[in-house]
Amino acid sequence: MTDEGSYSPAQQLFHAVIPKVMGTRLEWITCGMKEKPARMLWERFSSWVSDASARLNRFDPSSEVSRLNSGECLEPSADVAALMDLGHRYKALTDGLFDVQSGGSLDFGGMAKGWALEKAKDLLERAGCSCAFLNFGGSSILALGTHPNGPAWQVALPDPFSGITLDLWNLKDAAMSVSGNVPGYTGHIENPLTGERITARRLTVAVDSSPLRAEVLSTALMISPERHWEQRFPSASMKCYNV
Amino acid sequence: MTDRRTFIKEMGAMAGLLTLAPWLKSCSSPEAAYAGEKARVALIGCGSRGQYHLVLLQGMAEAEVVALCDDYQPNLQAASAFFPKARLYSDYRKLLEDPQVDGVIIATPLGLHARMTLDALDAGKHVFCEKAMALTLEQCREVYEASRNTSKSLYYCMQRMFDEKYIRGVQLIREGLIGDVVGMRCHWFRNADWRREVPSPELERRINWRLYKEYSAGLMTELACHQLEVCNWTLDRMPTEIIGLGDIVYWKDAREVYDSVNVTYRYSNGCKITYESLISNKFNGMEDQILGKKGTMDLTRGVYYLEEDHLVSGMRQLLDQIRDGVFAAVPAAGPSWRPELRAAYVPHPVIEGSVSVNAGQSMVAADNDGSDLVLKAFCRSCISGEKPQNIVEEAYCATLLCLLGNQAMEEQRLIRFPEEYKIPYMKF
Ligand SMILES: NC(=O)c1ccc[n+]([C@@H]2O[C@H](COP(=O)([O-])OP(=O)(O)OC[C@H]3O[C@@H](n4cnc5c(N)ncnc54)[C@H](O)[C@@H]3O)[C@@H](O)[C@H]2O)c1
Repeated sequence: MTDEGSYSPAQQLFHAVIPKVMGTRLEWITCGMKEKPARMLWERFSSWVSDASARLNRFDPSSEVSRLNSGECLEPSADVAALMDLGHRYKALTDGLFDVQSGGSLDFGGMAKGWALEKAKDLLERAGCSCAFLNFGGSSILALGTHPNGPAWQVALPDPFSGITLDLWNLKDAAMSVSGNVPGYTGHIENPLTGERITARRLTVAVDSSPLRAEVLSTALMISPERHWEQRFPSASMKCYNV
Repeated sequence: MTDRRTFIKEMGAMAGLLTLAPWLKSCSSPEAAYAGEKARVALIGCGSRGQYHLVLLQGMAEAEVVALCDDYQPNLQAASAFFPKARLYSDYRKLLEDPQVDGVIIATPLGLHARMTLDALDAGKHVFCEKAMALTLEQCREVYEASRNTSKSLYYCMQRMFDEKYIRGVQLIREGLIGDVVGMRCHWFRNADWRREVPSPELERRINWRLYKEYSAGLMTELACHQLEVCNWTLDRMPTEIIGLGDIVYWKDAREVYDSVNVTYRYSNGCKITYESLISNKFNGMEDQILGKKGTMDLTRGVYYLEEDHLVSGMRQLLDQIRDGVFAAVPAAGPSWRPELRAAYVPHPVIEGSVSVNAGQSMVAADNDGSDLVLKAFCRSCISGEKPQNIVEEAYCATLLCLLGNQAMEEQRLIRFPEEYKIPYMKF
């Protein structure tokens, strides 16, 4: 269910939405591109991401990930193989706190959106687009260049419990990832080493030039807020909010 | 979970609460204000609801149950087991002559509410009566007039008015959380015949009074009454027009009241209450939903849902900014937003901690639904002599809507709210 998007020539603004992909809503904004290339770029990305989302969907028993998890002998697709490889690397880099295979079965939920944004970033840069704002459900954002009328893309982070703004983040050629517990959906992050479900009323933010690294770090920070992650990942800015 | 008494104290201190729910005033004074004082109360009607009140009264410091009345011996005996020292009466008029009684709790069939309430007020007693107010419009008017001409307190057990999740929910709606109220959907579904076992046939109408028009106005007064009150309270208005269809769909057992009712109430601004009750299917349970332009308040569960969570509105703001040449921060970030399919609406609780939710299947009571607080407020009024605000008015408004709903169904026509039953409290 992807839409064709809408283009406003005056601002060379292109906007499109996929209401449900990678388990959430994707909003896509590019600025400064002519209509035709802007639409072509979206078409390419949206068909790729819908396809990848279907392959990674754990709730669909016929998806590639479900079939791998049920023990079927199957040659993983290039995307899934790449994700498995990235998953292992980040597991090592986080001393096991980030694990796509915790509990035995594969679950790319904690990295798929960041990974998709890596792909989007690559496509956008190759197409010469230097002004874009992509948002996967509020929790994974890619901000290329700056807001057309400002010095950065400025994102407010509301407290999910009260709605009050907790913080403002200025993003410029950066990705932002938010993890945490929200009312009615708590305890979905688990420490793979101890099995403990994180139920604290905590939000974590990681900003990095790499969307995938940001995504991994916001989760790792959620599990272990006391570690000095910034020493190991100097390119990232990170923050923890107790709400 | 918050201590409920503390809650009322805190709420009492909160600005605006007493404008929203002025009947909470006595609940908001400190426990100590009543230390050692007891209201001497009597129960008239020792059936299932009456006995539930006795259970609540057993744990209430402000109450001393001094007398019990029922004209059906088995129930009177059963009640006396709760308070063995209470004097027993089979004629409520005799009980009303008892000078040791400050206030009476009336839990008899609906057809008796008006007579008993009027007699008790006449006898100088404070009165706590079960909803609904009365069986007919005329009786409602009579009771309303009597309440204005007495110094005694008159309470109605419409416990949603004292239920924390309802109070907070209505407060949030009044503050604009869900935007303009555009509709209300209330329903109550059960799958049970409403009958009780009858030891011998001549007792049928007495014991199964709910099924006969002599004592009962059926689903509207027994169930809808609570829910219609909530709608009026939320909007602070009364509907002007009523239409409905009522039938006996399934329980064709010589009962006289409908087992299926669908009634629509229209307010002057076009907003409607869609009311439905059916007692041969329970799938939908009981719900009181207030629908707003920006969100939905599910008062029954104490949660609300927003039409657009901040992500969607944040992204819309961002697009507007780009088009209008403006720059500002947008609320576009947050953990795990999920899409707006019905099942995926994110519930936001109106109060912290666990909330007791009434599934609506019991004929007697639900835990922690505010019933204890209504009783407590009544006992405090017996002690202080202070009349509660707006309770009679709310009960009058709600009962009238129940009875007018029945009239609309019986006469199969649109009813306009009758002039002669308007009172100054009502806004249309
Ligand atoms: N607020 C609520 O949530 C709630 C819940 C249940 C019932 N109720 C209300 O409580 C009332 C009683 O309902 P119930 O289910 O307990 O009914 P019930 O039949 O169990 O009890 C009624 C009692 O009144 C007695 N009675 C009848 N005529 C009498 C008379 N002339 N003098 C003295 N006693 C008399 C009956 O013998 C019986 O014991 C009804 O108005 C009902 O709507 C309210």
